[in-house]
Amino acid sequence: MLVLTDKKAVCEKYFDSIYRLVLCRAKSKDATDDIVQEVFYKYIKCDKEFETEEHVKAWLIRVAINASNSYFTSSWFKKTEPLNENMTFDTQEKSDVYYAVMDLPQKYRTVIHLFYYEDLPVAKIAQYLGSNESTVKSQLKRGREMLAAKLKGEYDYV
Amino acid sequence: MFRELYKEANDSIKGDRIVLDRAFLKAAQPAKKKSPVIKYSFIGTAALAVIVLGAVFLNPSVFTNRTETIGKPVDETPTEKETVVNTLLAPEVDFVDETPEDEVVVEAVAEKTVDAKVEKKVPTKKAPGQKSGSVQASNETGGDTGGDGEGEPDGAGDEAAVADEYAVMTLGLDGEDEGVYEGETEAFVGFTLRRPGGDAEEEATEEVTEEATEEITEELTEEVTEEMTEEETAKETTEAEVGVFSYMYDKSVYEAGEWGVVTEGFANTDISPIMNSADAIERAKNECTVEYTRTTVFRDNIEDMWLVNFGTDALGGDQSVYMNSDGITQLIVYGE
Repeated sequence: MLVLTDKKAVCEKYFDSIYRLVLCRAKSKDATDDIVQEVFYKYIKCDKEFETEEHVKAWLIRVAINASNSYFTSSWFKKTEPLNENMTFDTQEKSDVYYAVMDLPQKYRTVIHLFYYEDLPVAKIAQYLGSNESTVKSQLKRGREMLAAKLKGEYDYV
Repeated sequence: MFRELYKEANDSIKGDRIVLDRAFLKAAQPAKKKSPVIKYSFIGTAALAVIVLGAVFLNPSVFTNRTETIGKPVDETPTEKETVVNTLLAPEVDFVDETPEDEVVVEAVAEKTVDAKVEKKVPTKKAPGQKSGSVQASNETGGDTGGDGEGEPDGAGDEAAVADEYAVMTLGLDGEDEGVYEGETEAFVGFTLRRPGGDAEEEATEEVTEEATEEITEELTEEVTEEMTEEETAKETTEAEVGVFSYMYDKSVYEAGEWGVVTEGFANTDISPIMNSADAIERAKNECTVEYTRTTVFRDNIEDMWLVNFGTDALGGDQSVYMNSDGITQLIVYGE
């Protein structure tokens, strides 16, 4: 049982999860480091009392999405060409799948990541992204179609 | 299948833990205290304001004089020339001059075709009804100089009034029957008095008009120069405010379909050519949906594109509107 008052333990537990979400959106390690640092800094300084672990995770995801949105729309980031990080995976299949998701437009990447990696339901994703469920569903559907086109129906997407 | 592969791929990605350490380190640093110098900086300004207001209250002329010194100097004291001119142009005022007869002396010279120059002192006496300050001299030829009767000049003849009552004037005619005046004091230098039947006011007015013309010309020249300078400055400022950007680069950065990137459904779909930055701003306002306090204009001469950024110095959204030279919006990017 995670002690929620132990902020270091909470950070350790959710660090990788938040890092992967932000990397999926930013496609840049440098930007991801900056955003993730900001997210956990806000968490450490936050006086909010969380009731459950789920509550903490939801808060971190929401803050990570907001922080990355702010970062992407900053004038500095607008004039900077994002670098596609060259990451290696142990199998070609993983690499294909990962880079296929990374090639999607950002809004599709985000819902695909939250749906397939975080196993969040559509309603939660809509809540975190600040949009309605139908929008998330359509983005999910459109993302799947694009993935199918990229991966040529090689994998089962559901 | 896809879900498992995607999860496994993500699980193999590990973030650098130093990021977490930096977050803790940053959080551990004490918040920067505001400098008391900034907090109480208004005291100096307030003290200065009190001193200035006190000075103005005690001696209002301090600022009045300063203004006159900085601006155009105002000298209300008329010069001797102006005094005489004003006197010549003054309306008729009846008065009784109680000056003794012998105190006003007019020395008139009449010369026409004769070489001989006759000078005669004519004691004058001003009577009620005479023009105040008007200076006239008769030009009777020969020995009739001096008017009709000793000491009783007629209205158009030997009456004289000058700024300095003791000044001596020499009046006469040249070879072309034009009035000639020779003044012995500086007050009259440059003035020509009319002969009887002439129009002293016209000549005096002409004198004033020449000076006024010069002054007006100088003022107009200064104003035109200032306006030209202002226009040039404004033009330079406007040109300096238009930055340069690359539409092709921006277009490649903002991928269609991404958050905050709009590529269709624009308000500016009709042709309205953009000639300058002001046109660009006005045109871009049709697309603006954010509150803004400043606008910045950029120009891409290669692609013939305009970019107008609407933003605010405080926290809030910003919006970039890309338009071609026909005023048709091509791209909108929302930011924060």
